[in-house]
Amino acid sequence: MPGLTRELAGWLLYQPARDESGRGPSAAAVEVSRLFDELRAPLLRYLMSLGLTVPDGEDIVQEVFLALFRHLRREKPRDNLRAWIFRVGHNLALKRRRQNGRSPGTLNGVPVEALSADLALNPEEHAERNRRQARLRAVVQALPDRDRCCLYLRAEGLRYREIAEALEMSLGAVSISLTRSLARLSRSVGE
Amino acid sequence: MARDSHFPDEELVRAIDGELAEPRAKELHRHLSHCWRCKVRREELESAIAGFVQMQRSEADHRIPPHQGPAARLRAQMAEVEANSPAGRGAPGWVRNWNPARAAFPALALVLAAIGLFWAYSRQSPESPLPNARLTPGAIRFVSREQACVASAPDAGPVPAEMAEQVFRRYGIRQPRPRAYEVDYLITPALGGAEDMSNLWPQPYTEGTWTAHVKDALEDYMRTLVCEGKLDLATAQRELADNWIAAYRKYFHTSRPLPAHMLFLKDKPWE
Repeated sequence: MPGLTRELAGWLLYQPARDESGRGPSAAAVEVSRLFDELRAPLLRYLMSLGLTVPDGEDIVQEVFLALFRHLRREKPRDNLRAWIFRVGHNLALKRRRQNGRSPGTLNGVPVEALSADLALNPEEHAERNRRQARLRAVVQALPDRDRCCLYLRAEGLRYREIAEALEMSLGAVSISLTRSLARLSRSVGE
Repeated sequence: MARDSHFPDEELVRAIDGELAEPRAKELHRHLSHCWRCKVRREELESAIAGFVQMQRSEADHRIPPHQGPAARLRAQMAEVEANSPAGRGAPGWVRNWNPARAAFPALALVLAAIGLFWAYSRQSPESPLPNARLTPGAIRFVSREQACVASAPDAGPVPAEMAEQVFRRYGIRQPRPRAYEVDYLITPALGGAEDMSNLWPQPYTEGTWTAHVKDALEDYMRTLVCEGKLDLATAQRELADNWIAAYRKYFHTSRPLPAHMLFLKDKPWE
């Protein structure tokens, strides 16, 4: 059955990176490409929230999806792949951060860059928005690491169950963590 | 009464996220229709979410480089892996993809597992990857294939703590170490297994070769076969109950668990 799927995928893919045997890309390659298209940006944003630079983040994204490819090639089950991807990415990011001797600033180290200009806003609105975001950023940076990770993963669309798996914590802990963070953020938004 | 008591933040957040269980979600819906305080609180939490997402997008989105380059790089790397080691031929994957850095962790995990196993044997009754057939013969609910296959991934949820404790007692395990076992259904509920004592046993979660991870991987695969009409539900149930390791060997054509199945993540261990 996997052989058949592979053949079929080979037929359907328009830009086959053929292997020695002349078949098209395997079913695993097709699936990994699809997941990469869907999750590269979310994963990269998450890695940046952990304080990685863009090039470091891109490296890790590649490493994660290549590991996923090897994982699927061994005809592994395809359950919970989203959580798997973020869990592996998270762990590799922490490792990279240790190797780099920890990024400047906080653990999180969201680099404070010039905010993108929004042309629809007049200068006053713009300034107000920047002030608001600076306040929020300060709150986010003051959150415990784990809370911040939960928050960023949730913002990337992960369900509680997936967050729990990615960060190896319980479902209840995810819910408590998100509530705690949002309560703090809502105080800052309300100011 | 309950009707008048306010909802805590946590439930409001879970409701916003679609993670609040149905009966409670309905109660909340009714409550919000007459409670200004909770309604406003929900809006505050929602604006916190909106504020955070805007902040995150404005910080990160413009820094994400275009997609094509990295996508092409990944495709090329995958093609290379495929060319160097066509699937199903030569040495097993873990040998072909040998990389000392990446191998360090599995090696460490193996050593730890071996130490853990030795420790477990030295202080507790022998643990087996197969249940005691007398205590856990397996039990089923009467469900059809269609019923078993309706949901995409049915989840029986964790075994209630009381039940888990009873399982440990039946198996003579006095002080189970947290995370060492999954109190597992021999016949998975996803394939019509019953939530019954005679279908439960403490399965080693990580120790030994035939761990709960491996069995979860098998169950997942068997369910796919059943739902695709390639395997009879009753046969699947019988094979799981008789000897799941034999079933694994049969379906995956291997005498030992595939390496990644040992890391397959599905059910949580008992804690």
